Amino acid sequence: VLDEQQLIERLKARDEDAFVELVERYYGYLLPLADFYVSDRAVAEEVVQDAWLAVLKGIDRFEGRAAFKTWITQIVMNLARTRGVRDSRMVSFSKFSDEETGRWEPAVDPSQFQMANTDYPDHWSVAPRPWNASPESQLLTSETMTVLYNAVDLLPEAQRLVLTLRDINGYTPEEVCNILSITETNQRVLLHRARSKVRGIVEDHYSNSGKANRESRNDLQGTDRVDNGLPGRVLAAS
Amino acid sequence: MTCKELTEWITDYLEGCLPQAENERLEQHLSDCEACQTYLYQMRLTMKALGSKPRVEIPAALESDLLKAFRNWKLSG
Repeated sequence: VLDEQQLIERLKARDEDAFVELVERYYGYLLPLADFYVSDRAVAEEVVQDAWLAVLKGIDRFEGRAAFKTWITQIVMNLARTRGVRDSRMVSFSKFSDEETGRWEPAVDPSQFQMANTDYPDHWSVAPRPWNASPESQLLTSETMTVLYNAVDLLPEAQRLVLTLRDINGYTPEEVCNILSITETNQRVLLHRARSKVRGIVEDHYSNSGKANRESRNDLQGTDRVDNGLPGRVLAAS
Repeated sequence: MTCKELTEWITDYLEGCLPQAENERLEQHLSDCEACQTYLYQMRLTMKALGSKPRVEIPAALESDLLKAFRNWKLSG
């Protein structure tokens, strides 16, 4: 696998394979970014296309003082914002970010914790259960993976974009703050809410699919064990 | 630290942004609470699964348009 610097040098030398590799490598990152600012998918695709045309036009002058990633990101953001304005969408990331971070949202449904008048207030009343088929397994089933990927699409826009950049595309917190012009704290709050929601959706999926199983085995409920597939009362000390 | 607090601090913990005192409280709680160990594991599994999401495929028509543009650019010098 060629590293990015090698691909850029080869692109400058008019190497078609290098161009294709870069286009494919960046698509999953540039599309969600464009998607955020414009009204529909077809326009977002055009933005990505126009960004690559701009890259071809400017690559000979690109000296690599800034990272290529930063450069193409800026091109896409500028093009997408312009198109967004033209489409009367006029969105700014900070507006969504402020709306999504401005109100309190719990990471976990409060009903999953014990009430204030119990022996262990704010400790789990319904403990999270392991998701793996077996405790040794490090993998999720493909069905669970599908639930998890679909959960991303359900996230509010700013949370979805931050999660996509951080956890799917592997960008650092600093890069995301720079790309979206947000503070580190807001970046972290959006990421926290996004990850917590995705986890919650997968957990719900397990609870629902495990309900029948639990109902048939409810003689074991109320114990303090947290077995795979069985929600138990958890007696945890703080 | 309560389990509820842990669920709110967990991203700061995973990001390495928790002040040392809170970090120690969180780890102390984790060592005693099997349910929160599972919660942490689920969060890590979520991140890992997101990181292994298959690459989004570029639509064939878009790729073909870009290839045409590349070839024109190459010809134009």
